[in-house]
Amino acid sequence: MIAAGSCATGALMLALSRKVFKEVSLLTVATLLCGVVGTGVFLVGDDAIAHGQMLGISLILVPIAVGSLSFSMRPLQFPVRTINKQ
Amino acid sequence: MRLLRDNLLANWWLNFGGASLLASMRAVVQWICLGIWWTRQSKVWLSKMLQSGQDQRQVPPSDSSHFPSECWVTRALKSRKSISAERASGKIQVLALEPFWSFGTVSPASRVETRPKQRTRALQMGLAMPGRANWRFVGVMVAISLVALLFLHLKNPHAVQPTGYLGITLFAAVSLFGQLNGVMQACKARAIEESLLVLTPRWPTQDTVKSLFLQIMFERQSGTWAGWILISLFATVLGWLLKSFLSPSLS
Repeated sequence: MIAAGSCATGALMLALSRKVFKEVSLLTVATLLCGVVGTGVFLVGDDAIAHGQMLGISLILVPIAVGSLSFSMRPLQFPVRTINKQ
Repeated sequence: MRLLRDNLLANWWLNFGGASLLASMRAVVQWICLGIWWTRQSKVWLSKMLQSGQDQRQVPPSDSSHFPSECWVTRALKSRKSISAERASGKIQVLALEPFWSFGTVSPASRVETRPKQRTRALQMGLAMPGRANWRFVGVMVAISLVALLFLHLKNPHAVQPTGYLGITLFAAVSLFGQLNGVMQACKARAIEESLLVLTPRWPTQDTVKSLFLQIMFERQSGTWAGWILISLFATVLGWLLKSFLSPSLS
């Protein structure tokens, strides 16, 4: 749940602070992957990887941290601009 | 011992079934009563709304709050004399707007005093975003999840993996994604309305809009988080989650 909340909030913040809205954005995919990998690493725990749980928590919190930074530093994309593919 | 346990379980299921039957019958009766009351109330409200709509039609179609009162008009006329006196000195372009700014006919965005919750609701309504968390729905979902967890616990009391709880957590996580995705889709779908909103004179500063978006994000998540925490709390206190699952590093 923490990973889902972090990923969803981070992705929305990143989308709102970008210049244009994209249907599939590399940054959003990377954010989601970070959360998923973090959850996996946290569940595997310290047995498989040294300081696994700490690493997992850090990876889980990366999306919301990056999103918050981007949201606070960059201008808000309002009104939104979507890429017209036609 | 086993026979005693089976008997106890059978009696428990009978009691549980009877209680749930009674509860469902009570709920049906309650909903029927509520429906009758709602139908009567809606008729009264509808007649009141129609009445007020007829009254409003007699008023000229203008927003009276934008026009100055008599007192302001008097003061504006007085200030116009001072403007004409200073016209010769070349300050007219600056002074022309002053009475309107000072009397409130045109108010800058910083002077608009509305509560943050009202502004959040206004932004949500303007962009047709999903509103605040539906707490009744959250309550119903918590109740259904607890019943499902109880059923799974009674079916297999010594389960190693709490599959039901994990499923509910997964469902809550997907719901969380859906809540925020709704906000994003609403933003994307109403780009033209947003560009019109930005042009309005009372549109707040960018920092205020950012804080409104943050509030919306937290509000949208609050229902799901509250429901999941309640379920986890109940499951932990009632012992439906094994200690080995709660703290895997200790086992």
